[in-house]
Amino acid sequence: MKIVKFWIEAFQNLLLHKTRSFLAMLGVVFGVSSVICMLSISEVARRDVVTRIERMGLRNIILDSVKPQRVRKREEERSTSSWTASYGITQKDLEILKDNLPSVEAVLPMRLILRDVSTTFQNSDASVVATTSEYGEIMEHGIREGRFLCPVDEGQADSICVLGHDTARLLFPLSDSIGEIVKIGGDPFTVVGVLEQKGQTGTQGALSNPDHAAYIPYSTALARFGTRQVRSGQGVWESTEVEVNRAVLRVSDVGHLGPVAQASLNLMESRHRLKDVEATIPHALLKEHQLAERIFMWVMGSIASLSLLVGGIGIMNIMLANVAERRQEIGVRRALGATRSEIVKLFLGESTLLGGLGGLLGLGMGVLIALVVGTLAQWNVAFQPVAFPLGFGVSVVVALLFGTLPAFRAARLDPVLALRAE
Amino acid sequence: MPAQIEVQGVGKEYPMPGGSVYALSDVSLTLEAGEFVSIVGSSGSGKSTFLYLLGFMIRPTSGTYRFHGQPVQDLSDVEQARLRGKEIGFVFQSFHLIPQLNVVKNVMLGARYLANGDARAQERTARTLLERVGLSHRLRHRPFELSNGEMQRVAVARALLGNPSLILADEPTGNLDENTGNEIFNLLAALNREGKTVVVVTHNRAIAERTPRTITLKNGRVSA
Repeated sequence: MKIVKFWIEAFQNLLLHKTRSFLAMLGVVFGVSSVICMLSISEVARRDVVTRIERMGLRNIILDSVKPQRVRKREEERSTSSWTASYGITQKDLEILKDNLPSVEAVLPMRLILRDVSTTFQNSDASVVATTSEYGEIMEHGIREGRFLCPVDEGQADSICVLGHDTARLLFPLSDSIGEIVKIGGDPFTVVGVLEQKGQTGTQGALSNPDHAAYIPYSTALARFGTRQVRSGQGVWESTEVEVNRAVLRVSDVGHLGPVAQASLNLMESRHRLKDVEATIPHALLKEHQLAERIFMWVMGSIASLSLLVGGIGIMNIMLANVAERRQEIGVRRALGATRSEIVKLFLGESTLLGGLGGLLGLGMGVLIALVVGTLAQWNVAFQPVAFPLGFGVSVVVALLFGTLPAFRAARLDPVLALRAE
Repeated sequence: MPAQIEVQGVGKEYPMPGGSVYALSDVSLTLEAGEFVSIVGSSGSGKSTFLYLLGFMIRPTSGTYRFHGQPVQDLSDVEQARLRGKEIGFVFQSFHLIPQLNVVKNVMLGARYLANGDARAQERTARTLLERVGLSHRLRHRPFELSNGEMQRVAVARALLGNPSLILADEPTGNLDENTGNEIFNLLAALNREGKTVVVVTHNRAIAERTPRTITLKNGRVSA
């Protein structure tokens, strides 16, 4: 009861100088609201990046075939004569990788087929991915309807396909797609399954969106479309031959990821004349991201601390002005029986209340700004629950610390001199 | 039964860069409970310093001070503050009311420093005291809405909240016209008749002559 009375009195004292108290709070309000805003917005970005990385599989190494410098240069030159280039990972490479790296549990080939996917009524620009039956397990991509590719399909080079979530919805918006026919590069393929929605992964290029794809057996792709892809225009043609656009290596132990990635790159270098393979380790990306995030949090924390420091100085300034203005009141209170510690408590209570109220206002304002920014930028704002007690607690502690000097100055005043103050 | 106030050879020295200043020197005095005393003297004679010393607001640098037989100089700051809140009521020349608080709240300013902390009982006491000083119609008014005389009556009520045995008034009529000054003096006299010891610092000879006992200070010493 006494404590309630104490805070009520502190609040009433602050109300005696409404404008001044409000101005004193502003620094803390902006400090806390910027913390909440930054944390919630960075949380959205963090969750997005982490999810994308995790979707690539944290026990996987991703080897991508990349155009060698020479081929890229040729493309840029817009040559007037036709040309052909062969690069990247081959099926033979995959066998060698599997035979030479005991930590590799499985190797998944993925090949991008530059063909359109369509039905009689609807076209789609979905990526056509040739792969094997292990795709679902290695890429941790579940099936929603029907089934995925199976070894029998590969053995028989069947004309079947499995659609990504978005592709199925686009091509068959009203009906069940299982058993329906889609055309891939003009050839009919029977839909045997639809995958669950997965979302974007952290990689670049046409293989980055598994929902916007159609999956066919690797053997079927070889039989139907071969390994050579030809683009022609203005009387010349460009022919590229890539057997495997991406190879995903599933490693038995997370601790082996780094060495296995290096060993696989070394193997590729020894077998290829040109530098045409790049490795990505999602686990390492995640670690890098976590490090970057920690640095970001330190920077943000420093900025927020600076704002709160300014807020604290604001409170100290106002409280010093309060002490100077209320010298006679301090003298009267001492004459009425107040001890020095009671004077300290009086002013410390007021500054702490300023910090607390500023903190609460800051939390409210931070949430509001984050929601407005989230709505305007079309982000799902994610608040970090720890930010709320943290923001409030820090603002109270800052106010308490910065209120100490004015409170002790008030308590040290000679009561007789204070009473004589004009 | 010991006297309420026994001051023996009390001095107050303020060390200054150019040499010490003695506000009080070798002051000895005994006040019995229920006395009505005025302290007079010219400006700078040390009368206000002596009054605040009697109220434990200033510690003497020499001599002894016993309050109801208890040596005050041996008490800690906290003990002195508690004793002050319980036993002493101050009335000041400039009233020292808090401008933002209404009359009742001004009277209750010291309530939290009193041992009996029942807020409702204290508010009832504050209202009774304000009625006693003739301000029951001004309870919700703020100081700037009151006359000087009314403000001083609020200050007297504030001094009485803890039912002190000693009233120390520093030039209580100094900012009042003659009639209002007389009213405040009569109020203090009435309190004295009820048994309270009243010490009034004044440079108004007419006021001093109306108290049964007058002490004159000159250059920090009691003048015969």
